[in-house]
Amino acid sequence: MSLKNHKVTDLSPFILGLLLIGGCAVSGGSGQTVLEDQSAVPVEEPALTETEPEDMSWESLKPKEQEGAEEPEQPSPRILASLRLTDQGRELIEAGRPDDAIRILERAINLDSNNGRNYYYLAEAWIMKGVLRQASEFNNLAGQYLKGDPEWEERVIKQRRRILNKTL
Amino acid sequence: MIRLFKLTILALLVLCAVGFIYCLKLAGDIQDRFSGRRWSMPSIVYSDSTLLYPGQRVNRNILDEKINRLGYFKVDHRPKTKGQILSKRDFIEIFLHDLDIPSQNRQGLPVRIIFTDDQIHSVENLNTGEPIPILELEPEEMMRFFGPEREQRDLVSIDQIPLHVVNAVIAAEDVRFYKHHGLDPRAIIRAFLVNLRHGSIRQGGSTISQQLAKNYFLTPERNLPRKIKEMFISITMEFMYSKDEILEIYLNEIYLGQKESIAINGIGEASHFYFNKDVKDLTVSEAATIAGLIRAPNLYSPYVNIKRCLDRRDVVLQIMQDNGWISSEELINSLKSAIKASGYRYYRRKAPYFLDYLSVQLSELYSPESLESLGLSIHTTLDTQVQIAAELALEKGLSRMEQNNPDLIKDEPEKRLQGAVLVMQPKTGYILAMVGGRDYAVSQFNRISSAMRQPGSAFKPFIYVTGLDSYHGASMLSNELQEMYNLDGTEWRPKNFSPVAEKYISLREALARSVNIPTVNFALEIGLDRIVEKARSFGFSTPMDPYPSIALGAFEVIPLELARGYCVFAADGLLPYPLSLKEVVDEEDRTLEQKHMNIKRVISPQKAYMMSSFLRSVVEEGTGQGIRGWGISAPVGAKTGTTNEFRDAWFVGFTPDILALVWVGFDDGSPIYGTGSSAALPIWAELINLLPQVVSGQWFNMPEGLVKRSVCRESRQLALENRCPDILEEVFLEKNVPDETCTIHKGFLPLKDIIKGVKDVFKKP
Repeated sequence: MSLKNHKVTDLSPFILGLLLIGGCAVSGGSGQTVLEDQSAVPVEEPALTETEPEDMSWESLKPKEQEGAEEPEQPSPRILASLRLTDQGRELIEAGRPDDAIRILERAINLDSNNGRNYYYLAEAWIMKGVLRQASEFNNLAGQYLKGDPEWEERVIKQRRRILNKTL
Repeated sequence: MIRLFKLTILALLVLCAVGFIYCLKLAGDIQDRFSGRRWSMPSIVYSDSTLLYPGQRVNRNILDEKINRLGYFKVDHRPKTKGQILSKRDFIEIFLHDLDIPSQNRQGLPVRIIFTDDQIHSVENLNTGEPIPILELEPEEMMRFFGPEREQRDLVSIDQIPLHVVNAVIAAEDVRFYKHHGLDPRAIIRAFLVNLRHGSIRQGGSTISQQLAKNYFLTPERNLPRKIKEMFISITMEFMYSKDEILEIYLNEIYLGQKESIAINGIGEASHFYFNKDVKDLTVSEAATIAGLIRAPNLYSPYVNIKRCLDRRDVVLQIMQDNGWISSEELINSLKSAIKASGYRYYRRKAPYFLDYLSVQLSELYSPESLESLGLSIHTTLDTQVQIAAELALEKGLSRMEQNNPDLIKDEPEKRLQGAVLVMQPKTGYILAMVGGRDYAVSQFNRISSAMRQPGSAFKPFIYVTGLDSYHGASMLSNELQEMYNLDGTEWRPKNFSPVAEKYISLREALARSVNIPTVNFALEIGLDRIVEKARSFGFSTPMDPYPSIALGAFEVIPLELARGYCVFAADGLLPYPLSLKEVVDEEDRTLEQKHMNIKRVISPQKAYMMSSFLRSVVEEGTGQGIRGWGISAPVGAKTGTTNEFRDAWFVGFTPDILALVWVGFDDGSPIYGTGSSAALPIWAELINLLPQVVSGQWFNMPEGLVKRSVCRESRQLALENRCPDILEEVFLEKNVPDETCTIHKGFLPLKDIIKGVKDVFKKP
């Protein structure tokens, strides 16, 4: 088989689905944009629960039917299962239980390692635990996997600033 | 006369008082001993829990086995209580046990799991009819820390032991157990007469309580003082504990056989050793067989002499019938039934090499005494479905090799062909399975965590990754021998495994086809010291010298470290810490230890993606193509390895979800007459085929900072559209995109394209 036949999926079907639901256009921004933002004057971020969107429940993560819109590609069962765990992990972070959250989120990664939210929440859990080196690694991964989702990219940047502020 | 009577009474009173005081002292000893054994809680090691969800692909056989090991018992009706299961081809209805793991508690509930072909169609709560999106099966108990040496002992409570098993033991050892108070005068008289007749001690007449007293408190020799002490202990014990309590301890302690160095203690463990089943599932005949062993386990063992074993069983059965514990019909049927021992091969410690590896880590945290007595729950990353698949695939692969080549067959068990398998989750570093050798009973040496073997070509990816700052997949490497390669002061000449005609070969192809000379030339070009330094950053701890032969993996590595190094390619450039222990929880559910995934950046995500892409070519068009013949169609990155004189064969393969390393070789370095492709690859493929649930079929997302360009296969320069006849897609670091277009096909149009163009002109209406 020649290399030209290699099919490389740039975004998981789920992320595509989410973008369609949210009406978000794929950003043309590049990694450079993120770095420029990072060099801006650090601003103290509010706590996670305040910065989170209102509805971050499992229901909000599921692809929803939209009138007139093309039906988004259905995420695989494995991705859906992973997302359920992501949601559980987020709830545990909100409940102030970072260790339990990490345990769940690690399992979510085992099911779907392309879901950038897992890395974002893992970074959040490690911030809570005060282990900033790990938080930083997970934040980088979140940035890598959530590229193209402006809303999440912004959250990742804010999280990075918080890590930097705590490190300094 | 009256005075004599008074003196006698006084003497008796004094004797009673002394006896009473002695019994009081013994009572203290008994309590200490029993509380040290019976009520001290051994720590238990658990596997990871198992997730089930609709749409998940499953291996039904392996899943069914897992459910069976979790202690669910089959019923032919809808399950009504926890632990029952109704199993059909297309569905199972199971009343789940309670789930009690760190951070999660769930009451047992009845669920129905419907299967379509090889996947779960739906999971629903049988009480409410509601669908369950994700279901967690409880962890599996792997081992208990029991005794000074950790041993596997299946402890059973008296309530779990069927009446016919209890009766069989009583029939064999102490028919009047429930009638006497620790001593059985009738049995003593009978034993006395037998011994008198033979002029030597032939029969002991010991009750179950006396046997327990002997085993727990006394030395094995037979003499009068010891016998008297045994009687006192026995009587005291009977005053202190109920008959059922004494019997329970006895049944869990009793010695019932031996497998090599492993003692089989307790009826629960013996049930598995002899019949591969739980004690609750023993038939009358099987119960009588095990009970019959108590007298002399290694004499009456079905593995030693089946005739003696049958005779002894029949004696026990007859006593059971004589006492009305089984009917005449049951007796006849049981006497007719053959003894079908499961065989040694079915009895083995669960995941023994993994547990050894874990125990070493636990020993740094807890003393053996703590592990024996604190009742800790130790949660691990082990996935028993993956573990069993790895054990099966390894044994099958090694046996197949021996069948195909009788030269590999060795008579001595410790010299047999060996192999090892490690399965990890590359992103988290979870060790899902570890098989450190072919047969733990023969060799406890863990070839995954302790062996040091040459990796051969399996090391090449670490050479190539070192040069990725300035090289890419289309870089052309020389396939010609240089003047001299210096190896510690002597000349050394590498050879290709098979002839390669090209003078130049692309980096991607050199890795995919595992060509040696270009790899050595490349290593020399980028610098051997740099390679050693880079390899160290991947976690290799074994000695490594900057000789040209390092390019061909001519030094030793620990397989665990090799697998961990490969994880970096499958984990965006992050090196994970290999995790086996997850959590330690005490009896009150307090978390004492918690280990999380720990990652460290080694290379950029871009380089990791490039490496995974190169290693995918190994499977698509290189030495790993064989896995397609094994029916694996998912995208896979992999590398084979074969060392000089066929001493070692390696295959390390990964997807974004899983990474598995397979090694095959002899411990003494004898040749296996096979390569990584022919010996290790089939084992890897069979392992993956057994585990449809672990591979998602996805490939890695290309990170930012990389670009894809079309290149000419011949020149490996940027392709000219309608000029270059064979075009490939290559991935480049943005900074490394070549700007030179194909010089071979520049300036002329291939003849076939000219003809096609002419044809197209005439076709147009």
